[in-house]
Amino acid sequence: MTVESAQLKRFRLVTNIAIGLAAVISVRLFYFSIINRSSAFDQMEQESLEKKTVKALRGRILSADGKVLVESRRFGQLILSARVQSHQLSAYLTILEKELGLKRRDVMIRLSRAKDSEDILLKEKMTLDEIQKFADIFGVNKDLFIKMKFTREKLVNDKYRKLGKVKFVDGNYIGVSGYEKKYNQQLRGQDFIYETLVDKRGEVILKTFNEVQKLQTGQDIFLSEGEWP
Amino acid sequence: MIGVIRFLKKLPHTFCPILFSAVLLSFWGCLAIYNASMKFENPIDYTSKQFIWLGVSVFVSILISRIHIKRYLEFIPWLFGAGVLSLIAVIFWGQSINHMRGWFHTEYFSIQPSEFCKPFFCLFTCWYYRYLVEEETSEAKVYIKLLLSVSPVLVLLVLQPDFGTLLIFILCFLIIYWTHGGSSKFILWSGAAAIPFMLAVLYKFPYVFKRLEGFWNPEKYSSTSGFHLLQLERAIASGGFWGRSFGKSLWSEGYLPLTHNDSIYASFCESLGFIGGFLLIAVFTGALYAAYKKCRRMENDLYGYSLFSLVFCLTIQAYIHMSVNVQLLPPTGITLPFISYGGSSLLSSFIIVGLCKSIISSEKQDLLESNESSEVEPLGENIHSTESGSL
Repeated sequence: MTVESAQLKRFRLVTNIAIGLAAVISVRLFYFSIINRSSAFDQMEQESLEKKTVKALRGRILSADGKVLVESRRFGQLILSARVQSHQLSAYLTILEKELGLKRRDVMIRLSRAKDSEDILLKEKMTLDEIQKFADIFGVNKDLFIKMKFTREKLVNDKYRKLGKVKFVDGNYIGVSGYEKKYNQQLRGQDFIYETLVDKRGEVILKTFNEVQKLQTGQDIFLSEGEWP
Repeated sequence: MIGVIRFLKKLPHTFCPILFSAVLLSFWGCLAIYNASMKFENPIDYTSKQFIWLGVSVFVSILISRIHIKRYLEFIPWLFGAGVLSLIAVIFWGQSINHMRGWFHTEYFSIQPSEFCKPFFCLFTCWYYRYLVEEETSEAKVYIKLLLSVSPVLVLLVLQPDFGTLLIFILCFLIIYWTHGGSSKFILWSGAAAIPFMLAVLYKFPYVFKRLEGFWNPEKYSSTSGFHLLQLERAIASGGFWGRSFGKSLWSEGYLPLTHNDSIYASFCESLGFIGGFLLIAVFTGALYAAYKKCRRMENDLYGYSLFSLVFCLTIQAYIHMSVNVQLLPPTGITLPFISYGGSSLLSSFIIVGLCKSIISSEKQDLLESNESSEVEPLGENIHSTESGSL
């Protein structure tokens, strides 16, 4: 080697410093991977693990001969967030006018009247076909989305008020009188609950799915001859 | 057919461990890019582009390694000049991405000229320092002339502005100057003189200051400048010791921004854990140590210096990238050589590999030639002595 010894020392020093830096990076990596792992996981869970619920459809009430007296119907509401970006809105409105017959002008007027944090109901009671069409076009969308709703409808004249009434509490119908109250436990069913990680945009990370509670649709109740009419 | 057989017969002789290791590392990189881009609509898109760039890079690297290093050193002022011109051109005609005008954009690919400048910058600094030491007697003159000769590159990088790449160039320049025998006091003076410049940068580019703020206290700025750093930490934590394996990473697919380039090390650690991350650190450190060992054994000083400088350039880039990913440095936007997505970065890294191979082959070739000539000379001496003896 013809390199002068002083220079050789400097090369060695640089190499040793590089090895030292590599050790520092490794220690830091070890700290994040192993030592600080549980603390990082706690923070991760607090910020991003979300519990989501799919409401169970309430069971029907039928007479002894199989006639439907009360039933639940599921429908979708098309919601537009007032925080939607203006450049996206134009594209949305064009498609909504073409596919769902929503007039651009009407939507713009409603949007201009809405407050910043408000959601605007664009269409009530969307049919399943319309919901499917929407999902095909827009997919998962934070600004334009569908909220699933239920209605509870009596299909017969309940002149003796035997069937009873329901009240909407926390996304579920609860029987407060009559057979609705008496058979509430069976009619109600069990909501589907799952945990999932969401990304910074609030969108679900598809692989992170953990079932917490199984879905059970409410049971149908057949009234006996004495109960109805 | 005969040509193919001849080529296959020659193949074991042309086997190059440096190139082979680099290709292996790049394959690993392609896998990491595929893993990091699984959240995108078309995950194979980035990987396939990287594979194409890898093919081009290997071809260019082999071509470069075939040419004697003397040829490059003969033309190094011109090559360096071409690099400077490309940096000037990119400021006028380049495309701006993330407030940085550093790319030439075509329909099919983008090119970042500053990446291609790196190897020639290192070679030029080595060559010009040697030239100046032979010409000049004053140490101060040598340093000033050397600094002035590389300053166009540094100024142009500030104008882009690309402070991450600028940091690599400055570190390479200082290390080359110092290891080649330069004076430490000039480096210290330059550091002191750079303080007002750094303050001006903080004033002129508020995003740099915000990055520093986020780096200093990521929790406080968790939704703004500290967000990226927190996600890097969590991606590494998610990997643990053994990692989640490729294709099963959670954090990289949800939160971590720029998983295929700026954050690829954290994404890599999430998949392969501490073990994978440590192995990668060992690979780059091992490369620098091997270059140091090789440099010690080299007969030609300039070859040894150049080899060490080129490998140092790659290693320091990898260190900066990894340091950002483990929160030892604020985000710089520097890619991880051979692993991160990016054609310019990959091609530049393979140009360095080609030049290293060229230096090693040239050294062997020169040694062989000198041995051949020294074998002839003693014969002449013998004849002379016999003649004189007979007299």
